[in-house]
Amino acid sequence: MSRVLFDHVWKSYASVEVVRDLNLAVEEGEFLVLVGPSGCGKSTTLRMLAGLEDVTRGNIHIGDRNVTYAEPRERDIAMVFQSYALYPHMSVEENIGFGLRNRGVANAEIDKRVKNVSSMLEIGHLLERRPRNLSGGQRQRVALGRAIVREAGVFLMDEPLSNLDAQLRVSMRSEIIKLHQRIRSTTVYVTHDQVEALTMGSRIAVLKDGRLMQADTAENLYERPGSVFVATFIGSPAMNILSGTVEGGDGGPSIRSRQFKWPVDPKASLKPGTQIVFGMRPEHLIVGAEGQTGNPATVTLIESTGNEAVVLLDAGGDVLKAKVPGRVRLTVGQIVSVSADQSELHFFDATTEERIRA
Amino acid sequence: MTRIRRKIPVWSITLQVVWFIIVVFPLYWMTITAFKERADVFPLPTFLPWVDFEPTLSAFRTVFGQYRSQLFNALANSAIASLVGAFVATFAGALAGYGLARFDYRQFGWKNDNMAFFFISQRMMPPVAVVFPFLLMYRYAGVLDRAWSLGIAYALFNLPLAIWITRDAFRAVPAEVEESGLVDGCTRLGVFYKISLPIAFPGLVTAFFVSIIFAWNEFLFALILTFRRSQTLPVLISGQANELGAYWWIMSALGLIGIIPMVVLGLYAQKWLVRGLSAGSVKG
Ligand SMILES: Nc1ncnc2c1ncn2[C@@H]1O[C@H](COP(=O)(O)OP(=O)(O)O)[C@@H](O)[C@H]1O
Ligand SMILES: [Mg+2]
Repeated sequence: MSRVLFDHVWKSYASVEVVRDLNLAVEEGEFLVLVGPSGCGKSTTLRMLAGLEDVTRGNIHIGDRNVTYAEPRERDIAMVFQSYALYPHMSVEENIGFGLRNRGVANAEIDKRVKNVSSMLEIGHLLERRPRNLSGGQRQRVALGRAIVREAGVFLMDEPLSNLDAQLRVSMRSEIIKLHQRIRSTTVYVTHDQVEALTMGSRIAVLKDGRLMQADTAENLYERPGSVFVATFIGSPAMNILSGTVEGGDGGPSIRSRQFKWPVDPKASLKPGTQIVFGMRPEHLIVGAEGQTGNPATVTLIESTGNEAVVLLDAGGDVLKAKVPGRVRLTVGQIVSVSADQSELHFFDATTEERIRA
Repeated sequence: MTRIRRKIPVWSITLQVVWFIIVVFPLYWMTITAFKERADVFPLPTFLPWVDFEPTLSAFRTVFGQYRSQLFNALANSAIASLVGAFVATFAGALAGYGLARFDYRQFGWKNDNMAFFFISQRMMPPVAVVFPFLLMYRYAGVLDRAWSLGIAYALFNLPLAIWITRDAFRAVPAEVEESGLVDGCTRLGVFYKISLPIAFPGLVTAFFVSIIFAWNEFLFALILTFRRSQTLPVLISGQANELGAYWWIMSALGLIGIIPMVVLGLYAQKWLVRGLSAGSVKG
């Protein structure tokens, strides 16, 4: 088990900068998820850590070693590839034992560890098979087993579940988490799926265009997103983002956005007159009957999932999404009044789009 | 995959029969001729054993008697030249093929595809055009009339095809499978030997097989670059047609003998020539 440190790491292909000044530490035994939209540099980051890609600038440390220029085999890492990358000419048993055999582990020890891991993953009955005779889920387990058996210092996974069907993906998610709780190895897990990231990561690093936007726990990312990007990327449906001007006044401070007024908590101490971007999560919007306090809006679409519904509202030109619990008593075209829970408003600087700390 | 049963149209069957006759007739003719005597060959052709003529082993008696040392010498020379030609071509071809498949080159403005095309273009050269330069080079180097040096010439001729075939075979090895090997503790070379080579092995067998067949049957270079000592089987066979006439029955017997090693090799190589070994390594 080792700590991982990215120290001002840059990666560029020709003139394209793919990873920009990455500073990130993964603590011993931590399960860190790298998440971000497709093409934001997650795989490149992981591959640099694995030694499969050269680092353009900066340093990578594993444990107390600087591994920036070390070969993959010298880094004490194990990796699960998105495509599984099983060795097609070897049986499951040989696949799992390959890394140990390369490192000169004694045959008896290899047998023991392969048996252990394959029973842990419930693939003990498949040991004689070739990868081509396995289902997708079974291949996935073999790929996991091949990485676990090594008992490496750092465990890398690049979208390991993206080739599985939805149901299997959800069950493998919790299996991987359980597995991590048992073996407690330092893990860097890459995914583009924010739900997967939130449910799996003990800490989540959000990447955008090769830049680390925020690395934090799921709760903090959700409750205190550091930027508009993180605010909208994390959570589903995405946070509603509006812009407006701060106003003072007798009834307390508020933000005027188009013809609407959103009262805000005085404790947020926003300066009247400033341009501001603010956001509220769909679950924190309050939809009331016409005429109640709040801003008038028209219901344009209702997506019900049975126990709750997402309601699309047209609020004077702004589209708002609200999450409404329980049975919905709304109809499309109905006029409602919409307000927000003041303590759940998020404020961002209008130019930098960064969070305004209260 | 589901198989669709359907009627094969008459014109298709006719074409197939015609094609079958075109392919099989020479083989049939050679086979029966090997069991004839002079009297069965001249003056009128005979077609059916035991009907037109009485099969005899006399051609084989001549070949294994009077021609014995010549035959075994020719077989040995053919074997050496073909094996050298196929081994060198497959080995060098696999290295080049792996490089072209796995790395991105840019040398003097040439990229991988330019290089691959350059290699294959070597094969488009008519052999007659280069055989005399070869004769001069070989004489200067003092390696004329040697089976192994003939094999080197064959290797050069086989190389383009070997590169092409092995390149395709290595291309079918997913990059992530190799990277997985690197993470699992292999060196680059270790990955090549333990992972890429076994997966691409059917391609290498194909390259070897194509090379050895070419070399085994090659005539022009063998005729020009060897004399008595290193004569190969095709040259020995063609020598049976000379100013005294053509000994068709002897040629046929030699031809039959010459086919046997290739048939045996083909049967042995068959299990490797079945493709699709890499299936199942990555996702679907
Ligand atoms: N070998 C390469 N050459 C040039 N650009 C590359 C190469 N590999 C990746 N990229 C670019 O780097 C960016 C990040 O890629 P990647 O790390 O694979 O993204 P992610 O895994 O987050 O989807 C992408 O825009 C991609 O086009
Ligand atoms: Mg990726």
